[in-house]
Amino acid sequence: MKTVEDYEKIRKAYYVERLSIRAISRQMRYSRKLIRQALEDAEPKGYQQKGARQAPVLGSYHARIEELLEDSEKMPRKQRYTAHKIYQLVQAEGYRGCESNVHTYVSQKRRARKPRSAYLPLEFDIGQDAQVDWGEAQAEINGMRQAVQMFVMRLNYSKARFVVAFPFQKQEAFFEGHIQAFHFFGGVPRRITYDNLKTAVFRILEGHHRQEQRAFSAFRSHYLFESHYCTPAQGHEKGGVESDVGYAQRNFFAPIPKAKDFAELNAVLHQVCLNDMQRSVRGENRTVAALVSSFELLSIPLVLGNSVGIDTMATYLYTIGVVGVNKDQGAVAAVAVLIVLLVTGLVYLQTKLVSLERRFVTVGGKATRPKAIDLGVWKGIVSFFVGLYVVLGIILPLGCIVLTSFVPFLSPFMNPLKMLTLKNYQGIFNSPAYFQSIVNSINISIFAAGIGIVFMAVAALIAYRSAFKYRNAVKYMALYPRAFPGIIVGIGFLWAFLLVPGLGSLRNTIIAISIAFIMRYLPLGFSAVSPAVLQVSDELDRAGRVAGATWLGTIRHILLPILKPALVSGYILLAISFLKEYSTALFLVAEGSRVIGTTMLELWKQGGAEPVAALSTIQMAITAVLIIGARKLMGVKLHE
Amino acid sequence: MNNDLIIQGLTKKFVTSNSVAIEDVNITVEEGQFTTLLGPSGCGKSTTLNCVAGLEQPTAGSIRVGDFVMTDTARDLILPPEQRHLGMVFQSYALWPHMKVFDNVAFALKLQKRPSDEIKQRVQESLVLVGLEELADRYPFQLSGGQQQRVALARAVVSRPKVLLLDEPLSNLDAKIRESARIWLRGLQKQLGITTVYVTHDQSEAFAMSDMIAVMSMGKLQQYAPPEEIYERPANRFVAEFIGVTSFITGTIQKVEGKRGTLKLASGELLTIRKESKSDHAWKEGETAAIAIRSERVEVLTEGAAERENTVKANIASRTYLGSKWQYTVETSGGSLRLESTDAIQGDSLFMYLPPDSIILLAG
Repeated sequence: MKTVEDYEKIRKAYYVERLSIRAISRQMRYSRKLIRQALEDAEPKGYQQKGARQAPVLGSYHARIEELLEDSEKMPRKQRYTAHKIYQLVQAEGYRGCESNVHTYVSQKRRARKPRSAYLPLEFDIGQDAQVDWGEAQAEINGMRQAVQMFVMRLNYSKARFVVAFPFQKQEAFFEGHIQAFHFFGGVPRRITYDNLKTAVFRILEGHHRQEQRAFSAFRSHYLFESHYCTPAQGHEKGGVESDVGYAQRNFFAPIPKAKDFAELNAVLHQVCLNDMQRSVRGENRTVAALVSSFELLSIPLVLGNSVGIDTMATYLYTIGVVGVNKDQGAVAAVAVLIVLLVTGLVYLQTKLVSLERRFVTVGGKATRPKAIDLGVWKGIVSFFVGLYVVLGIILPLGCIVLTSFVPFLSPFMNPLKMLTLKNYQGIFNSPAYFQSIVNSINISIFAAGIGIVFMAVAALIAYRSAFKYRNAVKYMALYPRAFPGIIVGIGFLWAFLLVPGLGSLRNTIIAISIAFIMRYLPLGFSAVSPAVLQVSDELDRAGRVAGATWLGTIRHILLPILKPALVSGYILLAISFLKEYSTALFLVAEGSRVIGTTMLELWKQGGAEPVAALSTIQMAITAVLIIGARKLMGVKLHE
Repeated sequence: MNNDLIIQGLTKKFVTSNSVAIEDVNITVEEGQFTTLLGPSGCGKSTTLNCVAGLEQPTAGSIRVGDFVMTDTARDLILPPEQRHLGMVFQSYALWPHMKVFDNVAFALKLQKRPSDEIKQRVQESLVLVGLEELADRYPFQLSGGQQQRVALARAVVSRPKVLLLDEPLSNLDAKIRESARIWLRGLQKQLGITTVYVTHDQSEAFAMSDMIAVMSMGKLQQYAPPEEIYERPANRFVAEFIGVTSFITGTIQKVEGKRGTLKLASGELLTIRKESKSDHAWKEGETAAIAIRSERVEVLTEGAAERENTVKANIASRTYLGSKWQYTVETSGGSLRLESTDAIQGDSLFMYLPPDSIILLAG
């Protein structure tokens, strides 16, 4: 038997000294066969069992035992043969050996018969997944030992843990825990897995579908993560955080921590979590902290702001007023007042800038003929870029949505044209609730937008074309709603419907939603109509008055017909906005007053982009019909 | 029945800026007369017109046509424009772009709910009047500026108003058309016999068309008189300057005898002046007064004319050769004036003869 050292000598001689196999054989007196073996493997192979061992006693029963095992598999699960039973059976047939040999043989054969199950290591993408759970632990607060509730969030890729303690598991604590965790990690994961907690889940539906608490939906919609729920009583589906709860109990809460209050306890826990980030992860030679930093880059940014200033204020408002543990109504009011002041300043500035209203007059009494501009050589280039924009900006993304809506799932590995289906649409149209939401949205778009644009036009005419004493105040008031995010407008209306006597009956109807939408989009409509009003010379109104028309008559016979194109486009703008608006509706929707936007949100959280794409496609179709219909019906033509 | 347009004590103050747009304007426009409100921009002429139309509210004063009181602040009565039954043409014509010519003209009649036959007939009449009967089916943007202006006029007169208000209707026209439009407009007004108030800043327009001219400045009525009188005897220095008089001499009134008087200059030279019967201000001996004279009426004497009546010696301050004539700026003891003469005058001084009939006496 040759040792590794012998092999080493041979391999060195061949690979390093470049001797031939024949020369090595002569020098070291090894056979050439052995040398070839050594060159193939770095170490000797050792001995291998070639044939089956001799079994003089059991050997003659091998076939019988295998036969019994085969029979056993056909029998009901509970009545199968145990190894002991097989021993008894063969003993009855004359076997004289010991029982343990039968056991060994049976287990060998069983293992051979059973297909091996394969395991894959569980892997997560960066910034994609997190798990949340509650756990209970004992702590000594202000000298009293008491049970505290631990909110635990775990990032699946980095295995980072965040633990914070609350006196209870209420929804406020639940949201606050999320917010603190997001801040601790510096971002929001794409998807979070939960038990079916009452604070998040209102009702468990089929499969992984859940009807969520409205506040939780709103919270999610704000931070833009998705939720995923375990099958009831199957905590192992989010094993990571389950073990983290245990880890925290054994490590962070042992010995039992002592603190003056929860703030102090949480400060300690925060430090502990930070230290915990320094541990390195099995299978990785980086620390948790290093892994978390990549999370920050790839997760959803914590604050998604639309416009600078105002929306970050709104985020703050939302955090302290809507989802925080310590709701501070005073601060909410203070921030709201600040926003109003800011907007007042901006509107004042705008009023100053457009104060010489006559400067914007283009539709004067002296008529001129509209002319098309000849672009000359630029024609081709301009059409190319316009075309490029249309393809990249409109056709491509919309096309993808439409395509998604017609497939069970969209994958780069499958040809989507080969699995076209109407299932997504059937799902929507077969659900009365979803269908109702489409009907509601269409009604709101057509009627509320019509009422809205009339209301906004009247506001613009009063602001710019009347002798009304407070006409300037109208301008300001028409622009204020712009300052508030839709969700705040929705909450405001909810309170109004709850508190103002007589309005309660409107709550949970599409009238309530229509009113809120009109309010929310008042600035949009007002801003769409105002420039058109400013463009029309007031000599046209004056001429109307002198010709014998009252103020209203002048508006009706002269201004409105001239403004018609602006009103129609304003109407279309409103109708489209109403069709896609959801944030304002979030707090106002009820059974039967759902709109497409909220339904989409519901579909989205129940997983699956495809039903959402189907609903989007329906939405697009409605939009197209609206635009074409409005143009046709109202015949926007100023000149023939 | 008398249908004069009577404006009395018309005043408009701005509360916010505490400034006055017009102050105590009194104008009577006799029935069928063509009166022009003339003055530089910002003088209050348009404000006055808009007050008549009801488009602006005066703070004080009254406006009526015959017995029909449209504005009387003493009674808190200010009729809205639609109840005044006036016709008005705006500077930009203000034709409604979404209506055809026919509909533009017919608008007032339609509002009055006239039968459609009558509307058709009267619109046709109006369009014939302005010579546009062929273009009833066009939109305003298909018309030339002159045509648009005539549509605006047809629209203003279609409901047969008692008073027609015109707010610089010719200012948007080309200079060439403007002159013929002026004659045409005046002819039309005479044909209709409609009481007309016309606003302009162009004095040649005012002189060419008006029965009466009201010269306004700084919100005040400076003079209200027929064109000839405005031209020959401007009431004050502003009016004189506005209608192109550039030469002014101040002195002291020395002697008044009937309709003749004497003005003594600081140098002791005496000027005979005639008192006009229409002139408003009383003469008092020893009072400071100014005279104005049109440059072209001054005779330049080259030599030995010192003994002649109404001759004043003047020092030549500067001279400009204009080709056909010379222009001199001269100084007298009563002020400086500009003269023109075909003669090239040597030396530092000259004598000028001011014909008594051409001297205009101004107050202060």
